[in-house]
Amino acid sequence: MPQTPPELTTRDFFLRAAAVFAGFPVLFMLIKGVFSGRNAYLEIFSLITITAWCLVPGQFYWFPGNRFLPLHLRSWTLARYHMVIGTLLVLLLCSHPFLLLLPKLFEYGISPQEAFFTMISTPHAGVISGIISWLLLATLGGTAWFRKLLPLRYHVWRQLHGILAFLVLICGLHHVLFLGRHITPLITVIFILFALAAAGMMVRRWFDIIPHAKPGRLPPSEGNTDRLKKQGHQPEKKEAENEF
Amino acid sequence: MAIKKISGCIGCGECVLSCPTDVLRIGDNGKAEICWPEECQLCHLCRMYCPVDAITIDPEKSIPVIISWG
Ligand code: SF4
Ligand code: SF4
Repeated sequence: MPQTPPELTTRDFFLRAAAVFAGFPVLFMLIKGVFSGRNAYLEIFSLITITAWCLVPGQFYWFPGNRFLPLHLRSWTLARYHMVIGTLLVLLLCSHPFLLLLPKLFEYGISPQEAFFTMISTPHAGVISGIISWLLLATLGGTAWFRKLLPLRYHVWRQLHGILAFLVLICGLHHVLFLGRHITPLITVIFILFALAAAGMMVRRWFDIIPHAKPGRLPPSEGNTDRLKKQGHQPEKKEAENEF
Repeated sequence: MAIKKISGCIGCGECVLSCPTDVLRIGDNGKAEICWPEECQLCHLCRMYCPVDAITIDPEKSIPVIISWG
């Protein structure tokens, strides 16, 4: 009996994913009123950094190797989403220690250089895990952007990418829980649950613990049929699998 | 007391060094603590010298910074 995938457009998926991974925790923080008192730049900066961090566990969910999602979406759409969000996350999270220092350029007090040096030379567990996550994240981004230049076969690179992402998640979580300004007990629980879910996705993929029947092609949705016909789409043509 | 909240402190001790009236100390947990709040002069130096902006000053307890002309 052929399996009929539920109707879910790409837009629906993106909206739901953003709502679950980023919308929910950020909304909770806003309701709790944890953003108060600092200047507008620092509050907006915090909000963006928190949203970026909330999307990190999501990256473990919307990747083409997730065998559940291709029932709803095409692998290439997922790969593109994973790449765009991943690039944004790496850029935002890697730049956040520098963006934090930006206001110091315009006010009296410690200079940005001095503040940066003090920050990275303080032997605090949260700072150390932050530096390690920064290095891992930069490596993760670098090896993803310049994958074609690396002397690695695709499957080896994919495993390396997964291991690096997993380490970023662990070290990042430590950094967030130790130094996050907006951490409340409930937010801690939410972040830990998200991280566990992401780790579960990863482990499941690595060890193929719950193998799914690999779905065939998605039938084109009604709205797309005409467009596909116009583009001369061949249903029997084999699609590139899971590679991005 | 000018300080409303200290969050995200890395325990570098810059605020302790910059406070002219010795209000702050690094506590046993390795983070800045307010020890003598009554001594605070609302000068904002601790906030301005904190490298990670961990100190939030209560806007209602701030006095405007006076800049001389000429
Ligand atoms: S505002 Fe000034 S006096 Fe008060 S704690 Fe900060 S540095 Fe010390
Ligand atoms: S200057 Fe900031 S980070 Fe350093 S000890 Fe004081 S509050 Fe903590």
